[in-house]
Amino acid sequence: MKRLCSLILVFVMCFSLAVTANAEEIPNEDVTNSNISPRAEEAVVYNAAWFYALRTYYLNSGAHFTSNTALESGMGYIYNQNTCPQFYIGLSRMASVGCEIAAVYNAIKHRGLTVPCASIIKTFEESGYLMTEGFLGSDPFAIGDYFDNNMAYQLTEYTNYNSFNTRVMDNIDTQNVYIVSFWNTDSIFDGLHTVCFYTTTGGNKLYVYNLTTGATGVASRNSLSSFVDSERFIVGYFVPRMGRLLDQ
Amino acid sequence: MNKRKIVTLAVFVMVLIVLIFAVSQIILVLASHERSESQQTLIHDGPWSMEAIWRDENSSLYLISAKNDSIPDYYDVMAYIEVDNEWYTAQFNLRQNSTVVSLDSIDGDTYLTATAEMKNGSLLLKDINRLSDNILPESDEILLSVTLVEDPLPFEIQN
Repeated sequence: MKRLCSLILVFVMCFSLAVTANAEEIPNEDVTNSNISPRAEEAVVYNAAWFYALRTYYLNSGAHFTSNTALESGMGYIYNQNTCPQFYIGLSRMASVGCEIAAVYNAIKHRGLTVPCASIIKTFEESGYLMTEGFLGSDPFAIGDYFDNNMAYQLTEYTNYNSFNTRVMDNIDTQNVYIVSFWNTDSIFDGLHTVCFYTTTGGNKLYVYNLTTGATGVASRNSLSSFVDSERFIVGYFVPRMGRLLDQ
Repeated sequence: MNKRKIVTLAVFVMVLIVLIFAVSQIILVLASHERSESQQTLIHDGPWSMEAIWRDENSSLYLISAKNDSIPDYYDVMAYIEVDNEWYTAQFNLRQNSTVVSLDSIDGDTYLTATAEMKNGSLLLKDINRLSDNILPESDEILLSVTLVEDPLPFEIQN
């Protein structure tokens, strides 16, 4: 009987792990369903729990840290993940899956601190923030976890596009730093991308790192909706000030 | 239902869940590799790969590539679009980690996004998402091919 009960318990635990992908996250603010398109509802289904299920640890992080530290010498901002040093991230490389790492690195640097990219990668690998050992990049929701567990500063997380868009656009003429993750197309098979962007005093623009394959600097955009729309939005973060402000 | 049947059923369901999870991960990884390869094909064979003029079938959209001074073997692409006999200029960008292209105005607006693929040496734009009205004729797909230099071009090239 004990054996049977434990088997049933194991089954229930496995099942509950599998169905977390369908658990809908409760947004912080009231959202009427009439304003959410069918695609946005789909995006809600692919929420934090869905990404969490794909998280894996990478055990060889020590060797990567040594190699990555050697690659990282005098590196400034990451404007383009294809042309920056090709760090080892899990079983993949920077150009293929490094957008979350680049966004975290740029955001911290832009807010006045410098954490080496090699250190960020090591933490992502050791904390299980990579998805499928790095083959699918990193979990966008792990960016919040990274700051919660490793930095003295916490990010403000937005899982609702309208709230994030309002936060960004209402403060477009002041100095702010953000990170946003979004689906590339309507299909999850076309993948996702994560970028860091900032606004400046009187700038009235969004300056986006690592948006295009030919980027050699930041791309200036008039609005968030010019590169992320409500239907493809996954998660957005406001990054607080951390140290002295660096030149932009 | 006896004990043996329950155990068999529980084991079967667990194996099924693990199998579905593993297969879905394999599918996602394969899709990721395919996306990466498609993007590399666009970079190596598309407008970003050489100095050339690309033109659509209606001659209302031209792409002109010019060497990017900072990235080896990479060409920046400007788009020239005819709307009501007037020519508009935009940057033609390939988004990171994807095969999504965008027509971005110099001052920070995005006119449209589309999915790009190479088809028999031509560039096919599909799944077109117009973010600005009337910037291109209504069509589901746009096919652009490398064309010989016309003299003179129907618009003035911006530096």
